[in-house]
Amino acid sequence: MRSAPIRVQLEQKLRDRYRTSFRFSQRPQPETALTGIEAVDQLSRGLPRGHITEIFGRDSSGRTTLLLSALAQITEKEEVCGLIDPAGTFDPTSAATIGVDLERLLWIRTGRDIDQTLKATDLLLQGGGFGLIGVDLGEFPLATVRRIPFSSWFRLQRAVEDTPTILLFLNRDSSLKTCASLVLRLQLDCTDWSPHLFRGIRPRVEIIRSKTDPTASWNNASQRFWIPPANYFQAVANRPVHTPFIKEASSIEGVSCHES
Amino acid sequence: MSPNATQNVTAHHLDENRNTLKPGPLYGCLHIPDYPVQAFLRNEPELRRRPVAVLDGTFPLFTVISANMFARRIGIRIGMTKLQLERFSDLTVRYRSREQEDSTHQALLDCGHYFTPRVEDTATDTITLDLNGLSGLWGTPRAMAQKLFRAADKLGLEAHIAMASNPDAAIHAAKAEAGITVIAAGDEMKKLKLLDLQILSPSEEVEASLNRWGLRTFEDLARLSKVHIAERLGQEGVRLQQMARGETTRPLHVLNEKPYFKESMELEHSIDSLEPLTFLLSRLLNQLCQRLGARNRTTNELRLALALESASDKKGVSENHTSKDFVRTMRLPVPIRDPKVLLKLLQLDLDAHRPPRAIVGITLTAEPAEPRRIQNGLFLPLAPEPEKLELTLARIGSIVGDDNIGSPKLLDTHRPGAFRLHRFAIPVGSAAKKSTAYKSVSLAIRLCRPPQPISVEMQQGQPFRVFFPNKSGKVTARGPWNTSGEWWRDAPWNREEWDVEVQSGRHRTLYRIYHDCRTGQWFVDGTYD
Repeated sequence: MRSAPIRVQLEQKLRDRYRTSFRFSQRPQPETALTGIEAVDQLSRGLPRGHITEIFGRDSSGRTTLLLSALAQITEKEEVCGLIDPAGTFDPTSAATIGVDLERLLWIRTGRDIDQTLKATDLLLQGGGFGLIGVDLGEFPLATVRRIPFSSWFRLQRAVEDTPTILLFLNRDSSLKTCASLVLRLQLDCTDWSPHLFRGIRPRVEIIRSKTDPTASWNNASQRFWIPPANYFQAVANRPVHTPFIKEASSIEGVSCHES
Repeated sequence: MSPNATQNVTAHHLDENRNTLKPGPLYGCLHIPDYPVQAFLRNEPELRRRPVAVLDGTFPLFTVISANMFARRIGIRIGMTKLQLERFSDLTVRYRSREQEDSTHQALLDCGHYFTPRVEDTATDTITLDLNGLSGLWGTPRAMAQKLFRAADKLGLEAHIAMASNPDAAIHAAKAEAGITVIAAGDEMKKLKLLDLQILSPSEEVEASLNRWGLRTFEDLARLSKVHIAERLGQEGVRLQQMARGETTRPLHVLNEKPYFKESMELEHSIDSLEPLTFLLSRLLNQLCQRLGARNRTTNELRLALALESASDKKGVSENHTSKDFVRTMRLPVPIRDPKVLLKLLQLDLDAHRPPRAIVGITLTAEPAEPRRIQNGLFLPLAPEPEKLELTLARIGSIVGDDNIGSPKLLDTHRPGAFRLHRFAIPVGSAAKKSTAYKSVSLAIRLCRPPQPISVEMQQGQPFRVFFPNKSGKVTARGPWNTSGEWWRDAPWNREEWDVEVQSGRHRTLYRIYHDCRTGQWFVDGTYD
């Protein structure tokens, strides 16, 4: 990590003398997509397309919420997304509450098999056309994820390059090394409890690495944001509700009905 | 190709001799010689240049009913018995297959329908086309004939093509002459004079009379007086003479039957691995897709029926394999006509569902569908190509299982976590427009599937300590939130939910746990994350 600022300083010093040598050091900024959480978007400027993004953090750090919020943003644009869920922990109700269009989401359960997970990821990338492919490695033991050879990550990086797809990995700890163009760490800052209610969590997000903005990681910039739990009515608002009884009652005089 | 193109429009075709256009009707005829043999050669093109004979009959009396030119050259004749064929070492013998003949006949009709909607199903091995008014589309009669020949060749058929100004002249010329024959209007007598009278298919009585009189060719019959023919042979004789002179005019008997797309193959030797099966499926799919293309159709349902070897399956017994032992049906969300995509999908399906025994017969049926009409745009949202998506889903399904891939749909119930996984397809139509401003995001939960049993120590009606399989700790808890339902069904639920925070060293984890009031057990529902 220390090498990045040193490299930039060297380039600055040598640029004046050897101008032409640094002509190709300016890469075009990749197109990005917002995550839907303002604090994260302000910090990271969005998730880069055609690159791998890694979000890591312990349980209850808010990483799953961040993933689902990104899925909601992409499906809102009428793009289709893929979610590879080895442990089957995905909750469609939470996703619908956050705003994910479930019709545009392809959910794949690989049964806690790391090889099947990577193979399915590769097949989705080869098929093409997905706006975001999320891979949730959060339930694998750290040792299992760390045993994945670097060549596999590199292969996935090459597969997603030059495509409009965002490849997003969720982890307990950073494992992708230099293959991820954007690495975000989430930590649970505090939780909020009232005498009767659980009122939410406040995670802190910081950039560990950003190839698109190398200076971002030097400033140790971080942001905090608030995530309240979904309330019951928010959750049921996304269910298909058929209320024949209420419709029948509305035909009776004097009965007032509240339709959701 | 509009049906109106052939209605009441006079065709102009080239006068072969004077290179000028003169008006007149135009009919084409496709005839498949050695039809039972060609029905096999469609799916076995490697035998095209080898002697092939087809046997038919009931066990043990099989006789040759058809042989190709190469077989006839080495001395094979119609009516020979199976025993007589044994001395021909390089002869390939096949047993007649009605199913393959049916498919070949349908292929012939499809070929004709590609050129015109007015097709007469003249015989099993012959079709006649009304090509009036189509010179603007297909060119001169000779050009049309060449296109017909190439179209039939693509379907694996070696056809005799004839073009004439009346259907019967075209039919007779196609039956008698190999290759392409074009008869200009008025030249029917000249072109048909040397044809054998057998082609007219006279009745036994008339044929006997003709033989007695020494009449062999069309010219022999045509030269006679019409009155004398009428006196001696009656109306049938007059009709035969008109045909011999090429003077008959009749409308085509066009039947608009619903086409069906089916290809089948019976195997000489059973196969028990997927590789040779894939090779044969590729051939059948190519034929099927060609035929679909000829009718401008695609398919959204493919049915593969494999006849499996049984203990009583004897070689040479002409059993009717009507009960297929192994059937796979593939329903596609989008209509497809690409044989490579269909083959890959079939391959992946057979990889996951292998036939239990060796295969002795293959039948592929495609349900026709209208082709997709897509209007491309510059600003359409990113989406996978439908054919590629199908292949991707099939490949992933073969790895993880078809039950573990799809699109979730919430059910109309308050039961926690109720959803159904249904087949993923790209939604048609645009999503509801939503606000672009940032909105509050609510905390998601990572569910434990199945819910993890735990032990809970209560104090004053609140969870005080929770014991997980690998840890335990004091908790901060809020609740309970009671939820219950479907008491009228077999599996109602009734539970108390608690939001708890477990401190483990420096780390805190938030769970949703619940107490199942029916069983009294505690479970972890999931982790807030």
